[in-house]
Amino acid sequence: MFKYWLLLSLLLPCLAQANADELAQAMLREADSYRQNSDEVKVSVRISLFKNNELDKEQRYDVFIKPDRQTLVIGRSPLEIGQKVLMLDDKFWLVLPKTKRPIRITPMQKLLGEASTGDIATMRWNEDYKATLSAHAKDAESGLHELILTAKRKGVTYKKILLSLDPQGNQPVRAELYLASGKLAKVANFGFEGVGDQRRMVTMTLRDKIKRSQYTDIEYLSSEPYQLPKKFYNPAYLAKNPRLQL
Amino acid sequence: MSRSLIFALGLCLLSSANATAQTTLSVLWQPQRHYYNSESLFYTPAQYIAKPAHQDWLVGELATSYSVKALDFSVLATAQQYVVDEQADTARGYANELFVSHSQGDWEYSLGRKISSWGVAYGARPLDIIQHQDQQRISRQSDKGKDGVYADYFGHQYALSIMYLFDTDNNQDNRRHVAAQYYTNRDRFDAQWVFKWSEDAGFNTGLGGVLVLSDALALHGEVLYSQDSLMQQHVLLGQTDVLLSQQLPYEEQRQDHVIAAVVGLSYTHANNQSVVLEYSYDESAYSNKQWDALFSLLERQRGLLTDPNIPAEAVWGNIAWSALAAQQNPRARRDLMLRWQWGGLDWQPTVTALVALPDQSRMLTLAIEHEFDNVYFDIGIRHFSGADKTLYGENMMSNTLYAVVSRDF
Repeated sequence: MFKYWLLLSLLLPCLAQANADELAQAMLREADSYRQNSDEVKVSVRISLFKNNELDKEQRYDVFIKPDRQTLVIGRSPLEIGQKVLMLDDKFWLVLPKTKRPIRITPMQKLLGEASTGDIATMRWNEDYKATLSAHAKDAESGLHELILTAKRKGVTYKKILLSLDPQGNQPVRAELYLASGKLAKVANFGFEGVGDQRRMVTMTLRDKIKRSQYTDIEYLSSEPYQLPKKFYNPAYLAKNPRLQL
Repeated sequence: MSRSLIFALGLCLLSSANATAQTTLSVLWQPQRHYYNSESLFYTPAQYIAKPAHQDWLVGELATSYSVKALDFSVLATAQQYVVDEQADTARGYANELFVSHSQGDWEYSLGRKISSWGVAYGARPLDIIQHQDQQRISRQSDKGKDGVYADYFGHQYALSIMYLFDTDNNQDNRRHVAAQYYTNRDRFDAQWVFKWSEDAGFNTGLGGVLVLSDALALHGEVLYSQDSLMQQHVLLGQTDVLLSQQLPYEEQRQDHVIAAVVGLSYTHANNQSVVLEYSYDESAYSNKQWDALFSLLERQRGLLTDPNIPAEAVWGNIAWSALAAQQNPRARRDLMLRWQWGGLDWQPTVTALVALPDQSRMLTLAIEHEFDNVYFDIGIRHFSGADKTLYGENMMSNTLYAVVSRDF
């Protein structure tokens, strides 16, 4: 009898932990739905860099997302026209319109202007991070829920994220983004539009903790279901077809 | 104006009326200022060899593509005005790419002129066997493609290209090539195999790849075997009694079983600084012994300038021939390239050092890139240095100042 009690006393915390993890992951899935509510989408993004509160640079991208972490980012600004970054799992390629060959790049080389590719190429934390409820699951002052997101794969820009969610519908409010070194790289704040099921994330403002006089606005201008043929996710195809009609 | 350009421009105009077309226009201005090394063994007075002090390229590149039913048309056309020393002024236009393609399942078939770029390295790229690009060139113009019939297959994690090429530019009917490339990507590496066969030079085959070692570090390399390679040889090298030639003293000599290889490392830091280190080996370049023999010959030829019985024109003419040949192929058999780059928000400086390992002479390029109001600026200086009788120490040019200003619309 003692054995059963011992087994039960060992299992119960595990079951409770499993439930808490599942709850955290479900909260994260709901938070993701504000940014990407379909498996295959085309999202038009504008990235604006502000210095001393004045617009310094602006870049436009179209982001084509497929399930299983397949993302194609196409530059639309005059300076980056035709430039592409392809992400497949943890692999990255840069395709420049004049080089006609795919350049395999390391995750560190995947910067796109002021934001990293990860900031715009992945719109579902749920696919890249394991969520756990923070020890202080509900912040006493703000009343926000707090999740700790730990990278579950290589190739993600941030190894850890502290994500604050509004208890009403688990809408993301703020995120602290940490590098592998443990250094806080950026703090993100999110803006929303619409109500009910139509409510969606429209901005993500990234503030650099080192360069305090500047910040980056990522605006999600439009998002629509879009099925891109699978050959577009082959680096060789992108290199051989620099003037894709998309 | 060539027929292909007229056809290309026609297609561009047609595409402008087509709603599905995607069209971009790039405008480039590329001025260069050259300074010459009067101490060089290759130094020749201006009347014997063209030594432009100032070159200017104004280039417009129009790219468009559009679809008509199951056919996709693609055009890249260049219009260029070239000014040298503010005197000679030439304008020309040509089609860099002009092809029609059709997709059937995972296959894509194309007919026409296409640009192909193979290989993975940065400083030298032996696998680039279809149209070899000089990786040290300053110009940012697009290359001119090769005419041919192309078939490409795009599978999951791999691609296969097969092509039959005919070199219409040189009007040499025997310049027909069959080539193939297989490309695959895996978890941590990209690999490619290339093959080319031509009637006049046998076959080339090679392997190359990139291995991603960590978030910041990647290893790359390529190796090419050529059954035959044509090398420009000076006919007077190794002769002791004949110092001057009455005709072009260079002839193409066939070299069997030639190997070229590159191995390199690239490292990128989180603060956007990156470094590339690359070692290259090329058996088709002059050996140190051959360069030494050429420098000795030039030295002895220059000694003849004091001989009143020998016309100076004959001596200068011979030196000019060698200078031209060296300019076309200024390579050592073993090179080391080191490139540092910082991808700053406003300014992107780059330092590239190319060292000829046999004689330690150097080519150093300092450049800085900047973007302002969607206009891209690249300004730099290239400097050649080294001891006497070394590859870059004897380079005819000592410095080149350059700028590239471009805007895409």
